[in-house]
Amino acid sequence: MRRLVDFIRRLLGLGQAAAPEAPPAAARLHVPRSLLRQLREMTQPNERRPEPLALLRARYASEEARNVVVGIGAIPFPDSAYVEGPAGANFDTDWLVRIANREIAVNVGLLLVHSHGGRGVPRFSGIDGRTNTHVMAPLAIGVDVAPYGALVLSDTHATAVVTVTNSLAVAEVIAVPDRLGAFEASA
Amino acid sequence: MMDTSRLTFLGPGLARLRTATVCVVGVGGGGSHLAQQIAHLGLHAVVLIDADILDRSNVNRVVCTRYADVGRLKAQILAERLRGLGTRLIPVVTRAESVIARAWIERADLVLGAVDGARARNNIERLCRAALVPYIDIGLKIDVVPTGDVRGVGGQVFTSLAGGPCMRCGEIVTDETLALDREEYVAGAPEQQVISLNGLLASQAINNALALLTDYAPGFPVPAMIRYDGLVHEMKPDAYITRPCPHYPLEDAGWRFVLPARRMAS
Repeated sequence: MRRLVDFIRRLLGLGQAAAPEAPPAAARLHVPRSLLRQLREMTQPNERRPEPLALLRARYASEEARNVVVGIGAIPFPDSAYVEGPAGANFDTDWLVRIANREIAVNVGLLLVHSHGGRGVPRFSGIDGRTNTHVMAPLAIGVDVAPYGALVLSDTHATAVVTVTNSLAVAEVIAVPDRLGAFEASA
Repeated sequence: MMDTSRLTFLGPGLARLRTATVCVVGVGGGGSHLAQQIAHLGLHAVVLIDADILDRSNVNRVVCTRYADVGRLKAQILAERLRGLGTRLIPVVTRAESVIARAWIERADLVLGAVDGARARNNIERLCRAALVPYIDIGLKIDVVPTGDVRGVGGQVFTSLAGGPCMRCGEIVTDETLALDREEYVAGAPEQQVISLNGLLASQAINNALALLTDYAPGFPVPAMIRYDGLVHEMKPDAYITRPCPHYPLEDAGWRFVLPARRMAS
């Protein structure tokens, strides 16, 4: 009955509102806290690698929300994916393309992850920026169904760039509370 | 600027409240309590999503409303009454499934829901799980036998987080409740005096929201489901859920499928 009254009121133009305000367009990256912890562990400097790398598997939140990206998993770099070079970490882009081609079959894009350590908001270095522009962003060419980009971590914060309509945009990183790993898997 | 001196127990997490955007879906009997409390906390923004008009029968339980408001939109009344508390209020007069409401939900820091149907609950949870947005749902049910005696006063606060149990796991959403769709506090008698019961559930939901947003007590995780039994005056965590959620694996979050027909059309 109430729905019928509401319907008639709307039909008569009573109680109508102006068009609702649209949300901000700024990009966001939602990553479960436990996945962020896992990425920090993967990218901790160790005896073999001064700057280990990882990939964050990510999707757009929905077909409409291409400015909201969700992180759903992590891929460590195998030893075979590193190559010799002048930067702190140099990697084989053929390996990256192979992983990208495999993951896109399930709408998953990739963010290159590394850590600068320390506290506070980390920033991409000049060489990071060039890698983001010349290696990560081009993965999105011709692929509009998954995000690509990069994530740099400190011990307390994170900064990200993601592809929004094929160009890199800074995304606010949101560490989302989760229960991943809180329950024992049933047999 | 609001006085924050009484909120210091929240520690460094207090700063997170200042930047948080929370959606309240449904601002009727339960949702008006949620909106009122969350607005007092001094968030960046609270988005009030509701397409309904205030009916005369609603005034006994929708806080911040008056009889003079009957016929006006609930979201707009709440936004108007809760101004001046240090939180920006954004009325979004539309259903939760609309494009604009979904856009707000997908980029919220947390969503609070007080809706009157399993289908609506299910839709909101599905949206939140896809976008990895924490969702806290409240629901109240009163069981009255035909003689008029109250046989049960029950409710729950359900906190749905990535990797944790969902409302299907908690049997809040079942095939039966989905088929019934619309719920009433008492079947066939919607005009119930439930302001105090809704207030209890809403306060617990806001406690959960504060814990999630500020992480002020990280050693004490928020329970997935807190049940309220109004006959024995008890509210306690439900401990029966002991396995990961099979309905919303993290692997399925986000925009998963490209519809072949749409791809061909583009």
